[in-house]
Amino acid sequence: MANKMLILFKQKGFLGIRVKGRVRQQITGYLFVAPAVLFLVAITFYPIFRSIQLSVIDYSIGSSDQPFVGMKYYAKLFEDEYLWNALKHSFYFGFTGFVVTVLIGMILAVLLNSNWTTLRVRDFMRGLFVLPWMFSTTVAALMWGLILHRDGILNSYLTQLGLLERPIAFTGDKVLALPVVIAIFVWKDTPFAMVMILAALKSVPMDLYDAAKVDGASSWQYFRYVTVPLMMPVVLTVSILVFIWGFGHYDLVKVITGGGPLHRSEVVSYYLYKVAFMQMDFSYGSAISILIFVILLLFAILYIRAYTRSRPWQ
Amino acid sequence: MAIALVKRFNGSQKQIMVILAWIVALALLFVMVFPMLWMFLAAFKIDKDLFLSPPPLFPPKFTLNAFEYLFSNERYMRMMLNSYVLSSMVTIFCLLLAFPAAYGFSRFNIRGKGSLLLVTLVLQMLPGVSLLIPYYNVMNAIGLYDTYFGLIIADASFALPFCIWMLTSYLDTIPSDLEEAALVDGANRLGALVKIILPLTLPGLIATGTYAFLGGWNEYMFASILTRGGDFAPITVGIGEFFGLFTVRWSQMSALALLASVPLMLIFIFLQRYLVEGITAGAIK
Amino acid sequence: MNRRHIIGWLSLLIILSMIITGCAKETATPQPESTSLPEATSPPEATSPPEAKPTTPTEEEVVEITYFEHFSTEFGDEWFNKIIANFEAQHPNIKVNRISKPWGELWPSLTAWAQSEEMPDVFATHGAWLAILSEWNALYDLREVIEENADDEYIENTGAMGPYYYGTYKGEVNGATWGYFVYGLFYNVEFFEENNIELPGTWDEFEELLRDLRDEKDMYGISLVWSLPEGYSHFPYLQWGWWVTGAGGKVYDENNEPAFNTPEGKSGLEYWKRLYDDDLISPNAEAMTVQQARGDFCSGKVPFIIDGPWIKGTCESLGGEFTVAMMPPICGEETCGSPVTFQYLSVGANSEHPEAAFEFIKYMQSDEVTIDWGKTFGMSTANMAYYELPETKEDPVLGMIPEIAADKDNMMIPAITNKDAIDTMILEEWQSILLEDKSIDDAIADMESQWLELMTEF
Repeated sequence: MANKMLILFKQKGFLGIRVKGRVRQQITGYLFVAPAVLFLVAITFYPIFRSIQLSVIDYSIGSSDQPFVGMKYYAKLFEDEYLWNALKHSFYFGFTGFVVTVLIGMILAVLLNSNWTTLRVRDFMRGLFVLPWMFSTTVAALMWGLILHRDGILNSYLTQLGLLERPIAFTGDKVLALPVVIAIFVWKDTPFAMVMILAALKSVPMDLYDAAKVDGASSWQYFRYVTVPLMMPVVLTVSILVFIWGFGHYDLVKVITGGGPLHRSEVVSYYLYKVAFMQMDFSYGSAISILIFVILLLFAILYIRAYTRSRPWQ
Repeated sequence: MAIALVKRFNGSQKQIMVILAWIVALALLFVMVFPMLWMFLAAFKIDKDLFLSPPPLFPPKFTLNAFEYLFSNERYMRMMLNSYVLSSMVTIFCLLLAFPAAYGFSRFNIRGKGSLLLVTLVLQMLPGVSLLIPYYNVMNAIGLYDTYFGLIIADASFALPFCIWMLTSYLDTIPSDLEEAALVDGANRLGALVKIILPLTLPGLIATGTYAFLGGWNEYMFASILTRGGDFAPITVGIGEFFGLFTVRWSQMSALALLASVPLMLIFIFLQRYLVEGITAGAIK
Repeated sequence: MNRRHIIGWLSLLIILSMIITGCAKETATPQPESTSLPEATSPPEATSPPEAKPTTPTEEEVVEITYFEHFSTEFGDEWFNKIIANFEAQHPNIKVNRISKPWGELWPSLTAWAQSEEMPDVFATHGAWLAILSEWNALYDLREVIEENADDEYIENTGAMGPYYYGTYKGEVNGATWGYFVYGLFYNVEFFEENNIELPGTWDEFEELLRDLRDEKDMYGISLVWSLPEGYSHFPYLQWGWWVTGAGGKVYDENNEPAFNTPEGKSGLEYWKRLYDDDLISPNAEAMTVQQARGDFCSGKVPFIIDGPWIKGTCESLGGEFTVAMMPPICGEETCGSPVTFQYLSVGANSEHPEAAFEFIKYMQSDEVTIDWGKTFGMSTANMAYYELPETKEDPVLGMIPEIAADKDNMMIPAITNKDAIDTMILEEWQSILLEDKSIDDAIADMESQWLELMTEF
């Protein structure tokens, strides 16, 4: 059915106007892309609009007096040292998160794709490695909470081994709280990276390899000049996604540390939750949301530049 | 690639590599799996034993109370069903929209491609917390509060951008010469898409589909605010209910988490293995 | 299985899902099963005070109201189904639809509904929420339904608990009391009997006891919750505020403004800091969660806990093997008292049937229902009828409550807007004192200024 429509389109053109090849290419492209993009635009429109609207008025639920205040809340952004503290932590979270996750993900993907043990064993392992991804963040936070607390199993093993004199409160420690949360985040998202990169590795067509071998390339050369570039799009995509998730992460911090102790593990979306749902300041909260949005937008733009440069054959 | 790598080295070096691989794999396996083991075993303990110090790994007193409680309450079975329906629909919806879109982005030189790609990602850049109330308002206004469709649309809106981006990058790893060759041979675009590209992207589709499925399965914040907690709540809400004001039912929560995850794991293992290995090998020809 | 089969299965899955989705949309919320009337554990007594005006609409019309609660996720559906069925039997023209969510989702749900003006007809509020929701114009002023143009005197003198029958905020009557939350020191009875230890009567004796336990038995006396995700509601009132009130001071005044910049306020901070510094409480209180603290107590590791009457039920569910009892209110230098707060039932501002909603509230407040609630779950109710029962008087926990309720020196946990933010700020300053050696004077000054800022920012 769609075939017929396409043929018809080619012959008769659109509304009888025959279009030239390149424009037709563009239109076909747009047609492919349209449903998804339109859906997202439709859904996105209201939240963004609402956030911007709330950030420029003095919003209070149930009040009829909501005057336009212009840049008042945006000015507040610059004076708020807690916000900058939180932003710093979020950058740290996003950056460390994506580096470690992608690194371990790559190692695991390569491991699972190589022939050091039977396929059965590797499949079984892959099934196990995937497990952390299957849980919601709340459940993951609880699991780790049970392990990490003062009387939990990690502390008791460490003290038994003699590495610790006193149990450490991992989630209440000024220095360790944030790294611990990041570690749990990495634990949870590494399977995602592994699965995505593994799928990319498996997509590398084997005949390319055969052809390269015929041409006399060594395995290292093949890896470096063929596999890695082919993997790059996926690795880059996974990286930017994990960075965005890490930067905007909220669940784990809320359940495990509450931003503490003393704001040492406060990330920007948890700070946003405090401002919006605890201080009931939805206007300022919206201004913070827009700030986060702009920051992530900048990173996404950088990413797209890097991405298009990584595809030399197109 | 590492197959060739391994073959290249002589015997003993190969053995070292294999041992190294085992060490790394087992170490990572332990770190990934142990917390879950801990949690799952908690489902079989009585609550008191969870607070013993030092905490024992295996239940000192094995009990199935938690599971009895869950199975006797049909509400949890309903929630499991809701989760399956929700996640399946989200996956199908996302893949149906994302695959053509990824194809369009990958193969066509659309003007403004970069901007369009950015637009799809915009929702992700707004923190989830600030989206809670707007989403509630929208769903409420169009009458989709406390329905399957409302949640499906919400979860799909979060999963779709990633699906598009991931599939685009997968498609980018497949050179377009393959379709060009097919088009020259007389097939039309859609035929080429289905017969040649689709099989090759299957690993990517499955990976992306898994992501969409889990996105729907594990989502809690929006699931709780977009449902009334009755008929349409997924299992994450059920798990959240064990956090009461006065008590936290650890063992029941662990049991429910276990019940909620093990089927996923089994599906994933078998589905992945079969389709990925089988089709990839066949499609090369 | 080849590709065609896969497509076949996929299509089947799609069709199945659509059918389920389509059908499910039409299913109404399952009706609560009408069960038989509750067994006569005590004969239903004369219920609410006589009303001055008829409160139900025309006899023929059936009115539907929504009731939003969070206890059924913890305690099960049966009790609620039972009492609703009973209510509907007594009021055939009112139908009650129950919505239940767990405790943690209560506030986000109420916030979302408040801003879209879709509050349920009847729902539970706590002190601070009463204030916030009132500011948001989300609560219905009950004066209109209690009695037409009821005046302050009527409000104050009506009902079982005198001035505590209704919750008011800035002159509006927004809630009817239902639960009475009393906090206190609960202890492990057998531990004290077997070791022949006397219970402390004052805060100083308490400190001494903690030292003795540490020195002689190498154990900690209590686990306190000072971690950020949960401790913010504990430290300001259940530890600091309690001590300060006992010493004759106050944390806040009638205008809800800070009143702790006093010698008593300062000594209060010094007291708890001493317990922390001298290693008298379970270590790492700044990372302690409520669940762990309860686990410590119920497993017998520590003999004390600061909590509410529900701790008895919690310990039972955790398999605790000792008797839990409540200490008489502990004394400071000036007064003896306990931290108390209420749980209210309120009516949504946009409710279409406020009279019917209030009927339901009165029913929930009645002797019959509150006694059943107390007996079934061991909860403390605002209606004092429950405590008149002989078996309640003998209960080591609940038997204490009438005495506490009558105590004028109790510390009422305040109803301030922005209370969560203020409490978090206080806890953060407290953590600075503990972990970073911030001076107490500085901290108190900072707390004061931030409190005022947060209050007015709202």
